[in-house]
Amino acid sequence: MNAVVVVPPGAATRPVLSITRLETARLLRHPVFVIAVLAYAWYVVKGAVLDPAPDLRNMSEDWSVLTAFFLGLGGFVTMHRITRSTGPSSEVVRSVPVDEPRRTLALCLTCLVPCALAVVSGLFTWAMWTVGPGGGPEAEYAVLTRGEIWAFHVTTVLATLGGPLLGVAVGRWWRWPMAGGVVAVALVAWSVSTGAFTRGFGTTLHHMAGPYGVTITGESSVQAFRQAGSWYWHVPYIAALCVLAALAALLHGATGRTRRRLLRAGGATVGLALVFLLLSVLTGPEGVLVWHA
Amino acid sequence: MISTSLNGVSKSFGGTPVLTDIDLDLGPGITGLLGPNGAGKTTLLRILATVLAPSAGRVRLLGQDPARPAQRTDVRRRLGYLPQELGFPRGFTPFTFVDYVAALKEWPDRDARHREVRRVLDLVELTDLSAKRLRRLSGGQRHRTGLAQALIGEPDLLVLDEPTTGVDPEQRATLRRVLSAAATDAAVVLATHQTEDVAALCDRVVVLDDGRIRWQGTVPDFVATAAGRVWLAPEPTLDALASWRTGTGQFHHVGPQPPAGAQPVEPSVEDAYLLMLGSAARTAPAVAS
Repeated sequence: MNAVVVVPPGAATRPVLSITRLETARLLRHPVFVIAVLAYAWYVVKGAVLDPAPDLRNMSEDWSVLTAFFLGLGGFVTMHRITRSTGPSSEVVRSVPVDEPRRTLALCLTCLVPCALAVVSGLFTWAMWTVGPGGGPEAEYAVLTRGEIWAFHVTTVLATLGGPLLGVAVGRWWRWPMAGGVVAVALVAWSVSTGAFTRGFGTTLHHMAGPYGVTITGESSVQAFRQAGSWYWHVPYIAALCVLAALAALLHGATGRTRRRLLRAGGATVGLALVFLLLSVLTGPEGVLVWHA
Repeated sequence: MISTSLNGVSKSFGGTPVLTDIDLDLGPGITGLLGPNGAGKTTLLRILATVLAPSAGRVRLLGQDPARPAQRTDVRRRLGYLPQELGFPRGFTPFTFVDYVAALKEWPDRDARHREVRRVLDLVELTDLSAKRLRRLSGGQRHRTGLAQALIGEPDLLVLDEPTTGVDPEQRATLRRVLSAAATDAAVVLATHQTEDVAALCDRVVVLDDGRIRWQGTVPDFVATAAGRVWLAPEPTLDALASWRTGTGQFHHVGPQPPAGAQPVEPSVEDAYLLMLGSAARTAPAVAS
């Protein structure tokens, strides 16, 4: 009793890391995430090992869609639920020394878990693709360079970070029922709406501004195309969206100097995101449309 | 013991005053907060728990000013708080919930944290149920889980809103022992409707009514305010402020006038409370110390 509280060096970060470990354990045990990861693992292994498509390019596109759906959207739903879960205990949570921005930071760090899973599965899929009979990614993606293929895949990985981060932000700011469901549907609708072949500034802007979108369609389609725009600049744009989601989450409950810093960082990130978006729209090559007989 | 005090503290919500001009000093020991529903007890406890800031007045908690973020954080390191209605995240057990709160209370070392979690769960006698899902526990067991999280780190200021509500008599005796031990060096403030808890636990009592302190002082002084106005009578009477049957078949009578054939008896905290906040007392000047 009445012990003098000595705050050792690093005390500000150590609680965040310990909370991150607890939140990570909650994420890995959360039924939604467990189901999403199991389904994802099954489809990835099936598509790459058990039942690979003759055209391995489809495997790449499948990997991208599956990753964005199961890890990105699944991560969004799970992190939103975890963020909201402490609501019933809010009176206690508001009386602890670790303030809300640091608790949110722990949640944001937890969002690296789905992203790490996406990286692992991406490397696995890429390796299977490279050693496959089709001659590797460049040979099969005739309309994309190797760098563009990497950029396309990196945006997919970033979607698995941005989705969970957005889940935390929505959980912090929107307390109304079904907020997570509404945003999840909106995300899917937005992503699907960007899938049409882009021609001209307007459609390219719409495509590039989306949080996730495929750059090509598969050979099995009636038409195959490569979207217009620069996929190199699309990567930092999506990364900026991830940062914005994290900053928006951290802003809730922040006061004083922390709040001012977050607002400044948010303003700068919005500016950068707009620049990256415009560069991705204006500097890339024209779209390529191929009609099949 | 570093002081905890409130001076001229008021709180209003949307222009409706909930607390008015509260002056309070808290030292080591247990202070019981009594008052009817809506008296402002929970609001006062929320201010003491740094969850709520006052609209006016000065608050010092453990010698610190909770209006300043750094000092508020320091207070929170030494604070335990059990709110009136504590919900739990889904899927948690008593152990994982208390462990989670301990992490939020800056116990980063896993082994030390787990030792502390086991200690507080043992104090409230939940060790055997520590791995069971909270939603499968009884209300009293969940309530004890809430108390366990408040006891993490042996806080210097313990703020408890109805800590014995929903707890069976045997467990209540256990909790009284735990709280008495915690109050050896710490300031414990508890709001309750259980006047027997105040008698059994508290050194001081504060009576809140309509957002104002109506009385504060030691428990014996509070009980003494009812002296000569409590009786044991063979029949009930209608003019009593309160009257109820006792285990002996006689009627406990609280009121200014003795009924026929009544014998005076020693008053209790409940008698003093009823007399102070009963309709008859409202018309009379309050006794204050």
